[in-house]
Amino acid sequence: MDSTKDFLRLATRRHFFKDCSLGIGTMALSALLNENLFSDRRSSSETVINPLAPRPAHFAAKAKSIIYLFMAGGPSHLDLFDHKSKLQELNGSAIPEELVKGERFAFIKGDAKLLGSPYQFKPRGNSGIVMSDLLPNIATIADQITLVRSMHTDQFNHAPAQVFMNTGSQIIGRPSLGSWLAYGLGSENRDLPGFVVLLSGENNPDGGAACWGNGFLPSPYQGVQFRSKSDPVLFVSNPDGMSAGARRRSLDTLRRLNEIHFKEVGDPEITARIAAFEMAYRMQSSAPELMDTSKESKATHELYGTTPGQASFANNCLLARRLVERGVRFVQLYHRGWDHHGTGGNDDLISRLPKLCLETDRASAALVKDLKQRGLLENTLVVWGGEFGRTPMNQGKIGSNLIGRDHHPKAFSMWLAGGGVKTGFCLGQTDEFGYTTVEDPVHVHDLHATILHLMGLDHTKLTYRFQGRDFRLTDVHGNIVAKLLA
Amino acid sequence: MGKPGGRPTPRFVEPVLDLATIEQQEKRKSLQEEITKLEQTLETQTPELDGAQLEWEHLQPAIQSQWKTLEPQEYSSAGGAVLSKAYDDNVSLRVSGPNPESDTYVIVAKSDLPGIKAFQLEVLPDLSQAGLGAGRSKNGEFVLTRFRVEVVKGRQKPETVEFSKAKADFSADGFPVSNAIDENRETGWALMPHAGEAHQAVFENKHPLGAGEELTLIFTLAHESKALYHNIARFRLSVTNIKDSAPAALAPLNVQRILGIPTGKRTAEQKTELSSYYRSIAPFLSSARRRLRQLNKELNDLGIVSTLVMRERPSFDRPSTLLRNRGSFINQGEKVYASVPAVLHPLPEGTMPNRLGLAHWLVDPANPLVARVTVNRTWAQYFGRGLVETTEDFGTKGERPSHPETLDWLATEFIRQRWSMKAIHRLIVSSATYRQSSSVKPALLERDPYNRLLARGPRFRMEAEMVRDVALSASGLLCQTIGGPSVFPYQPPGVWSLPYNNDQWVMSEGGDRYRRGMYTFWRRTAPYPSLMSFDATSGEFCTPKRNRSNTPLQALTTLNDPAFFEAAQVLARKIHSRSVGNAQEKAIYGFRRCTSRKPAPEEIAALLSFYEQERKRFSQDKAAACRLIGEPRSPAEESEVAELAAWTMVSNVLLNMDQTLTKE
Repeated sequence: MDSTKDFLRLATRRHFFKDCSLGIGTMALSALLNENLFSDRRSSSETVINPLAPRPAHFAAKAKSIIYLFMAGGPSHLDLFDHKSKLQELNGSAIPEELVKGERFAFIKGDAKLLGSPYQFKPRGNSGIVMSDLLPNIATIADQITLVRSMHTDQFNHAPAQVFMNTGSQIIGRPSLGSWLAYGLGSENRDLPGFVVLLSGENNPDGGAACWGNGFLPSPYQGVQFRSKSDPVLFVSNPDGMSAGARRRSLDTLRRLNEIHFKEVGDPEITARIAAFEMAYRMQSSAPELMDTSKESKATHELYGTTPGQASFANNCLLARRLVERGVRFVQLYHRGWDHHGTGGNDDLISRLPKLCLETDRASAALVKDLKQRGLLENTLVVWGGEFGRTPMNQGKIGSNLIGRDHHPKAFSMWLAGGGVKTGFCLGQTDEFGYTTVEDPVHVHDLHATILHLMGLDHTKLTYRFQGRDFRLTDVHGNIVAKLLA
Repeated sequence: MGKPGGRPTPRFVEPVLDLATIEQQEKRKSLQEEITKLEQTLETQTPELDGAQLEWEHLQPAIQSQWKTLEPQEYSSAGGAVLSKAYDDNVSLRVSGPNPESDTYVIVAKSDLPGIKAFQLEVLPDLSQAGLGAGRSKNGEFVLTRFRVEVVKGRQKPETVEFSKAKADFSADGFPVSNAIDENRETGWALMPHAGEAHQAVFENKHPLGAGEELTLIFTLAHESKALYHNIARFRLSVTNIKDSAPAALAPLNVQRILGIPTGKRTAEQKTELSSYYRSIAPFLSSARRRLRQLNKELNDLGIVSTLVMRERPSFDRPSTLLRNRGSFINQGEKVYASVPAVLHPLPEGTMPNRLGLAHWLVDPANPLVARVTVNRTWAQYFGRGLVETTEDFGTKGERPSHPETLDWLATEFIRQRWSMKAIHRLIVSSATYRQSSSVKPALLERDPYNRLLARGPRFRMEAEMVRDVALSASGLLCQTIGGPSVFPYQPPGVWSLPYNNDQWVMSEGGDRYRRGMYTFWRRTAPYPSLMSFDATSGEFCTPKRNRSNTPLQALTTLNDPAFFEAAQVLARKIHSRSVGNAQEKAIYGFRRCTSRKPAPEEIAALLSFYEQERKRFSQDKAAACRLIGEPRSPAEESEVAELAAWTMVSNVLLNMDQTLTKE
């Protein structure tokens, strides 16, 4: 196979990424180079067609997969992770003018009054990380996580902020973090997509499918939404009246017809198509098998708080573990409902925030514990966080019993666990009001650079050429946050 | 429009393209002719009108001093409508925003008139309402079911004012104004059919109110009749302390001011304004006004669509913009003017840098770029890749052409044939290169895997929309209608579930369900899933070129998506219902519908053995067969469900063959 050797001589990694834009043929060949270097192209159709074939990282990776728990709506850092006694002290008084001069907020005006958290905070675990009573379960994994209290972002409305947090751009259309990872690393599982999205909560995230879109990357890298109702993957069930046996027989006939035609025209794309249909057939059994949690032990269900067959955030956490067990590269869970303005009974800090914590706290902690007891936490990075934080000021109307906070991009908290980050560690600080970051600020681009680094990718080198220039997840920004690396 | 009595002229007139149909144009023309005539009548002062106006003017001082207009202090709608002071008189209230089924207005005003004996409610037509009348219903009508006044003296509790009598200058049959102060909450005062004019109602109170101190008056206007949406559109409140005052139309403040000036001292402008106002209320002209309202309503009801368009600025207004340094909108650079890139040829002599100039420049024979780019894109449509691989980029970062001479020749041919798209398409498809077989021998594949050298014909999977179109056309479902609004074919439930948005995907009826893929409604945050699987782009970026992937999700779509499987069911019926021929001929027919060619004997054999095998199985399980074909649709089908089910299986295979999805 001289031609293959020729290609080998020519193809550096840079060529590979460049060639991806030429379509499936080249991509397939590139995949072939990586996995089946000297095998016959004709006989290895499965790798030929698979753009998600695993590819080596830029350097040794700490993590192999990511589970990203996206808390859409903007959880209040001030009531969960970032305790400010000063706020309680000055509850009801005006915020110092120099802090808010010239600032714009989504809804409130700068003269809104400070609001102390109505919740109690305590140091947790050996590390003594201070957290709110609203998260009793996450409190028990304090010694497993790195809490970042100094996150900040550029956007203060849900849709652009979510899109920014996922794609590094406020304008929809750039590839999402999961797409970049699937593109850079492929997937370890051939029967499932490399990037899976699971949704729970009040509704879909504001940013919509743009949050897990492939942008200008080839479409196999898009996030595939697994659904909790009917088909887990769209169209994975056979039409009514068609048994699995009938489907198998029809695929055999289809294969025969495609092979006859392949003999005639000799286009390797036909072999690729045959393999894609075979993968689809395998997915028809692997996807429902994955979604069926009834064989999980009672202890596991107890840990997560799940009931087999019942859709919930907890169920999605359990599915996330099952997905990374099967080698899926990036699993992203969205839970919408953290938008607690305090302007109505449905969105205030007293009635609503505890409900959201109840829906997510136990399962988030269970996921980390479960991954750890299975030895998966080392290779799996868990990320928990929303698109922005909330203001130290009250947005609820004066004289009303409701309290709440407006959107706030200048400071918020996120936590990470496993996959090469420090344990029982707290990074960064905000000022005494929790208004702005004062120590070790971590911008969204920095977070992206760090996540790619943990996955073994250099964020300045993972590029894709589109419309005449090389694009990156971090654009021209991003610094790796070395302090949180284990 | 914009004339007295017409709608206010918008301050900025955006260029609008009128999209009236021919019938609408004709109707509009005849309506407008009559409207113009009526408007002329209404704008012409006659000696007769002069006399009537003089009489009216004489009465005014008494009327104007009799009634004192109240300035609303607070005002609100219980049903969610928006009340605001009218910009022209600052005392009447206009109602806009949502029009609830039944609304109640509460108005607070202050008065220090001693001994109030009656309250007056004036309802005024509002031309910004759909019905152009004093009410908000479609016909411009209202039904006032309750008129209540509470009075607050100092810090005491509000007291409801007792009325002895209500009278109005006009009431509709069966809707006397006394209904507004009776016990029955559903009966009311209405003006049908004269709701298009200003009218007044007077409510006399039993006991005079106030002795000169400031009273707070709280008015409640309720609309609780069975006629829904019949809420008042615009109104004004006033009080009097003169007994037995008649309902009287009060002039607007600007007119009152002119009336206050002695006749001899009024300027010509004021005189014109006064008579113009008088004509708008003159009883003498009321039938003309009524007719005009009717015509305007008819004009409105034509529902003529218009759309905002772009229009060239006047040529003296040289288009310019400010540079934004490094793309930052706060970092302004120098002012730049419209022109063409300096690296390319200049604008032809004597050409303005406007749209026409740009068009001339683009097709200037000195400019080969536009023709090259255009033919390259057409070429890419047929061959799956352009002669220049980067169809979107002919710049320094783009690829070099594989066949530069061919590209140049095509470009010059394109220009020579007067930029005819049809001619260039014909030229390409009739070329020997395009008409080659797309079969490839291993040795050639080895040498040129991507067919850059064009030693064989093109072969590639079709674009997302066409994948759908092929299934629809092979089955005969395709609806060939061209143009029109986007359509909503089958989409799995739950794809649209967006925050702050209750939009529902409601599947189109009839032929619209089977339109070409390009007509599918597109929402960027929740794009149509089966098109997205086949590399459709989300529309977030301008993308001249799509990727072409081959994934299991695509296979699942063409195998199982109900939209595709329906095509298989329909194709099966088409195949099965062919009365002539045996199974073999039917199989050939189905194959040809999907690929436009005759199958080879080997292919026929594969299809027939599959058909026989499935027919046997389904005759054992007729229930499954019925479900598979989507239930029999006739007695004839009932007796042949196994055959139909077997053909459905065959059709599903045919529609999923590589050669069906591929252009070769």
